[in-house]
Amino acid sequence: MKMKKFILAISTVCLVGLGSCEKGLELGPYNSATIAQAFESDSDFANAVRGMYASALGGSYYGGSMISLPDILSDNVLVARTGRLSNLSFHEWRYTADGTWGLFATAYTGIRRANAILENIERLPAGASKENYKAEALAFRAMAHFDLVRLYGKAYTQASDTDLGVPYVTSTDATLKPSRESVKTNFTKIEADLKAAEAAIGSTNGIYRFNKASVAALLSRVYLYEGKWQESADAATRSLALSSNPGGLADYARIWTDAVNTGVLLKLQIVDKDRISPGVEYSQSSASGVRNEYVVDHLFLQSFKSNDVRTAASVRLTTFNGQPYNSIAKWFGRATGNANVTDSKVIRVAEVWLNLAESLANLGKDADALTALNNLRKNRYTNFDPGNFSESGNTLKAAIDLERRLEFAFEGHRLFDLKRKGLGISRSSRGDKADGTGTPARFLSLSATDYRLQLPIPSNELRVNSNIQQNPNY
Amino acid sequence: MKRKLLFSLGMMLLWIVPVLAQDQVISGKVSSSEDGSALPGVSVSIKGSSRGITTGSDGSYRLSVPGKNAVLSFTFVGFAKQEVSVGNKTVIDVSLVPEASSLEEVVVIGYGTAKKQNLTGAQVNVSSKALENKPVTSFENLLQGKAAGVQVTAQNGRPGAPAFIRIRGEGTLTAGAQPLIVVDGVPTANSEGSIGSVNVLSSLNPNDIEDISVLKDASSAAIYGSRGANGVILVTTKKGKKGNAKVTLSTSYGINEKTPDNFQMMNMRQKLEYERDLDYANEYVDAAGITSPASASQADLDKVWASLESKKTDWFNTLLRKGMNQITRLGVSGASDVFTYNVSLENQINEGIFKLASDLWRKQGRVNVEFKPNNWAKIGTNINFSNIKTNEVRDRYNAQNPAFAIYAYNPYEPERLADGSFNLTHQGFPISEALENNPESLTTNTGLSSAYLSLTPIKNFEFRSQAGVTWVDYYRESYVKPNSVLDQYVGDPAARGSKTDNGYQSFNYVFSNTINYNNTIADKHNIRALVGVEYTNDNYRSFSFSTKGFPNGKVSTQDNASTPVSATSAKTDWALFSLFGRVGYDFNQKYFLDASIRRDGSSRFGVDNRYGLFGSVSAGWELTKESFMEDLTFVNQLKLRGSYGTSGNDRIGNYTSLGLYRYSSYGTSSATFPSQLPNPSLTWEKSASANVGIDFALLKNKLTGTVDYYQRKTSNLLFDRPVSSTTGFSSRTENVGAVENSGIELTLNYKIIQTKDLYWDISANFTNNNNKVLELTEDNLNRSGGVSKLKIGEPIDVYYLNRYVGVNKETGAPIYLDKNGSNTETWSAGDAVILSGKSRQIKYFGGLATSVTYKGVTLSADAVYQGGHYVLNYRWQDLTSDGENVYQNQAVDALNYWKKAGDVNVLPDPRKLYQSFSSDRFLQKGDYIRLRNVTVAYNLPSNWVKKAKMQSVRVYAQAQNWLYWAPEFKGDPEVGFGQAESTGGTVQGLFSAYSYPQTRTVNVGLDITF
Repeated sequence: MKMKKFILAISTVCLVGLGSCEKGLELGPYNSATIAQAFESDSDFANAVRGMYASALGGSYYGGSMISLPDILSDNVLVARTGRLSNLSFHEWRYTADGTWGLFATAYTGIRRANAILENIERLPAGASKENYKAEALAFRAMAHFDLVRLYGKAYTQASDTDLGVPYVTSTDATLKPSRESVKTNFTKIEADLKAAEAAIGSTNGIYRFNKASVAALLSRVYLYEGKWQESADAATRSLALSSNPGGLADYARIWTDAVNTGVLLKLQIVDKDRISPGVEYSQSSASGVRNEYVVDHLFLQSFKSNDVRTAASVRLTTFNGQPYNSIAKWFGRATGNANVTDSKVIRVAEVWLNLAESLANLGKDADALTALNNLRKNRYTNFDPGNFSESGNTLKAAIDLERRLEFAFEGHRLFDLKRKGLGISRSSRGDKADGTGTPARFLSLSATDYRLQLPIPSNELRVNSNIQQNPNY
Repeated sequence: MKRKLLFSLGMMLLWIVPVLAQDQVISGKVSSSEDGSALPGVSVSIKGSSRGITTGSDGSYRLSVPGKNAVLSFTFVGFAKQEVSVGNKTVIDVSLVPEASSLEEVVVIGYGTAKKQNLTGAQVNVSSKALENKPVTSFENLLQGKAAGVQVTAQNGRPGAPAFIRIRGEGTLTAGAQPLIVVDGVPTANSEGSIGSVNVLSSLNPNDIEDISVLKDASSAAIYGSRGANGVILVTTKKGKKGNAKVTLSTSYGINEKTPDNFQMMNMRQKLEYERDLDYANEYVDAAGITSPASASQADLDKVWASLESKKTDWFNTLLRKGMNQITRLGVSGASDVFTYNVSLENQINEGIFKLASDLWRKQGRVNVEFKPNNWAKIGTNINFSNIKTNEVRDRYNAQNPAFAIYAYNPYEPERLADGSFNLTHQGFPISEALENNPESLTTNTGLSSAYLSLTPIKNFEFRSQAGVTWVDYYRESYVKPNSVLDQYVGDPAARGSKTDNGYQSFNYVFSNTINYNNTIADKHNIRALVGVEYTNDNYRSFSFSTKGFPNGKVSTQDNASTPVSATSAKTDWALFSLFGRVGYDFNQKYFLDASIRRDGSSRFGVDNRYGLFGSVSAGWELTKESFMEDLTFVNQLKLRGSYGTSGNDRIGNYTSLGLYRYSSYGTSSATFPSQLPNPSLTWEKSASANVGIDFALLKNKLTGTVDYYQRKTSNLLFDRPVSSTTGFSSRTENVGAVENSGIELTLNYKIIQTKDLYWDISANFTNNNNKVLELTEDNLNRSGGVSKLKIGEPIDVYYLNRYVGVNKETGAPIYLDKNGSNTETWSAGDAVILSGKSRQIKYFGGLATSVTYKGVTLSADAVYQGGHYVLNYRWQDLTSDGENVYQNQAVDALNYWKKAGDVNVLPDPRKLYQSFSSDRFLQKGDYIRLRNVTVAYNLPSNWVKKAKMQSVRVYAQAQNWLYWAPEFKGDPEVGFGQAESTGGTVQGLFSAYSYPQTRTVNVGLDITF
């Protein structure tokens, strides 16, 4: 009997003890907050805004593909046969819906973060801070949609009213299955967001976040893509009023090592800890040389004049296994810190000058356009004498285009500039070595009307979202 | 000894049994069917009367019977009862058949033990004999081919690599498919074993294992509720056996090497000619000024080629080696009436097959002790501790992985340049340099221990309280020495060299309290019952920190670094609370009935679905106990079983049901981002399984076997269901569908010869499993890796690929089928189709084993086989790449390409194509049979041994993994990981690339017991 009591006692103790374990099932994470907790104070919003910018550093966005693929897809670069042959399917226009550029998911990730800020913004008291966060979110949302539509849709200037752009998402609803809107509708909404942003954004956000000058600059680019020359020129002028120095002759090379920020309106900050190395898209270096993924097209290289300070900053003669190559130098990285790490430059003052020049040239204001162009040229060519230049008409437009190609080589502009001008891609048949010998690209041209200028929407999206329509021919 | 005891018992009975009048005298002799020896003490009685006698010391008997209709009954402990009608006979010799010893066996079941003959579920046991003295570091590999329904595939050949264990097919999508592993009654916190990590189970020493029970159906596994859906493996370690201390010293020594495969790589001449024909100028040809070898003169080429002779390199010999393995083990065990002990220590060195890296050093110890202070209490503890240190190689799809490099580097590329520095090669990366200058090491300390108290104060009741702990301390160091090639590629020019230390501590405890009840009422009604409560709590802490700026490669700890780079830490918890019970009843060991139930509450699931209820019912019928079976004397056992029940799978992330924001950084400031979509209705995977089976023993128990048919439907499949990217997320963990595994299992054991000097047995098992997706909330879901899908009616991961037809014999162009089935010479991703029935799911598998013992010499061998599955062979694609990979070495098969009109049975013309497209051309049948182990052992005669004051001495030699036959596969057919560091590369057998190669081993060993 004593024993029975003993057993009973033990059992009771255990059962009672274990009964309280039910409470032990309420376990939450240590490294996360619930959605409500994430938007309580001003600093929470500041955190959320920074998280929004951080999303754009994904490998398929400004942390990688966005600075490389538009060039790899077009004619500034050529695959190096001794590289890892990364991104070759893009270079050779062999991408499919199963293996397409993943910008679709990354850009919407950022858009989601922007929308979450906008949806919760009323939790903040009225004031400049609130307006600033709101404006940043709007600007970011516009930029991400702009990047999507210029990749997956036809260029605004080439699109009919019904040609499809992308869904313009303004909600954080997790059950969304939106359909594509037209390119034109996309641009209308992008303009609206940017205009609202420009009106409300603070001017002390610095260059790692949107500021008034960079929003106006982006707006001028959007208008330029639309061929709305006057609006583009006006926006460019507003931006230049705030920041007009594109970086001097000595600065250009130093922009790429982050030694100076002169001439930079928006760049996304990357630190070693992030383990994001945008430059790996183009090459990796060792004592034995630079192993290139892509090298500068030899024919394009001839466009750089000897007194152009961009030559040394953009192209470097390197060797790999004893063979000379023209490496892309812009993304080699900082003087200190991990190799191939440098901030991702999104908008620079130079572009605003070129937007202005192009818009004015198209408005027939050749003299003003030439002035704008020369404002850049004098900061790019040593011993520049504006007296030697008097281009006008189509010559002037061609000069502006060339300057744009040289200025933004390997920065992810080229494909979109060709598209918006209704041009196809035409590569040289030069080889990959420094002197133009070696293996040329296997595929040299893509016509202006080729469906492959619009990248396929990822097949995953089509499978999940029955409302999404694929681009033709994929 | 036993026989003598029984004989004396028999003699005692003789006193009691009265000698009766004789009507008709029958005499005869009773012997054992096993070896023909006489059986003394067998009781011989007349059926239906109390008359009887026992056999004498020579096995003979004499008994008078009432008449011709009398039936004699022969019974003896340990032997099957035999009845013989007298008829006209006067002499009746009887050969008694030993009762299948397995029937008397006590086996481990969930939260208890049971007589094997009482089981109504599908459970299989692997005894220690199968596990001893095998030169493998992990016991999982030893299960391969040992039990029907249990499919084991090594992840890869890395020393200490865990294995994929699949019990009755794969019934889950993203949640772990590994069975729950219970060691000495403690459910372990086991995971699938991610990249580079060391599995908890590799801390177990196979030699310490007494028995492994595999619970396959719901009846046996339902008692583990939400953790039992993938089956359960119960591991019981050895306890000391009654007697004086036994000291065992074991040692073995052997070598490991890569298993050979059927890839024949091009030699230098072949490669150079291939390059010429494809007009590829390698760096040497190019440096000689020849940019187009196809149009260059052969004389010019020959000049360059001749200069390459001095650079000729066999990369297999350069990077591979024969690794050494060595095991030393010391054990002490014994038991007295109150104290039982088993202590063992082991030291193991297992060198990998790559020079400089992938070695494993393991130190392991175990203490199992039990103390019985009185006749109703027992306390004990089982402690296992291990320290495993490895140095690792990368498992990447490039030359940072030596397993890739041996195939990729060209035979004309030397390891070092003339100045002694390492050659970057066309791959841009010298792996030999990296193995030296980028060392990565892992140290894992694992404690797997439990303490228990068992009380039997009241008759038939056992109260047991047990606390079990799984503790893992993992520490990884990855050092990129300053100025190494990798450092130059990715490091900071101003702070050379970098180091990362990361690791985790995981502490899991399980506190279980159970009460077992066992009773027999009126000799015929056997009742068993169990109730229990259990609480499981798991804490996990991890960290990672890295620095850069090292003065030189001689120092490697981070206190030598100049600049910090990053530091992070994390922790997570989960808890499980369970109530469970089981009742069992049998009538006279003839009719059996069992039922079990378990209620689990888990912190991992949404508040709406926190609790789950699981249960099972099963029944058994021992037909040989029925009178109508009595005439079928060749049938020694025939038992029918049937069961139905449910269990669950809770293996998802700890906080997957919550909607969360997380913190990271932008630049140097804090940033938040939404990290997870909420799913409050998230719940367990639930599997319902039915099983019917027959256990039989025939022909005097020489032939025994089991046949089972099972059907297991897993519903509420946990899956990261893709959502529209426009939501900002790629997926949400949801319960998406159902999958069914059904099949037949067959196990046969046959003792061919059982004599004193010669013993020979064979065994075989076979499983056929059909895996089929039954329901999906959305059909055609894409799977990780992009080459397979989930489709209703097809197995999990049915391949989704383009179809290759052959080569246009006029032009040399490849021909594919478009999605409508028409020929096309243009490859388009849109033409990929579901290849119905072709998936990585293994359709049949099993093992074969035999053992022959003749006077102390034992020869044993076992083989495993599997088939019906397909593997996408990326390595085959790379090495016959139609020119795409002309810059790296190729298989000689690549030379067999189309050269002129009319060529058939050739590969497409690489000179036009220069490109390789994925298609079912590289999808290969994975069927294989592998000779897993051959052992020759010799037990020295005991009279010699005793003179040397030893109990036993055993010497042995064995070969592990020595041969395989895979008629349709290129490479070693045992594919676990395709490529551990690639997407989809850790899915079992999805594709084959360059994961750590499988290895084979020979070793010799010596066991001495004092």
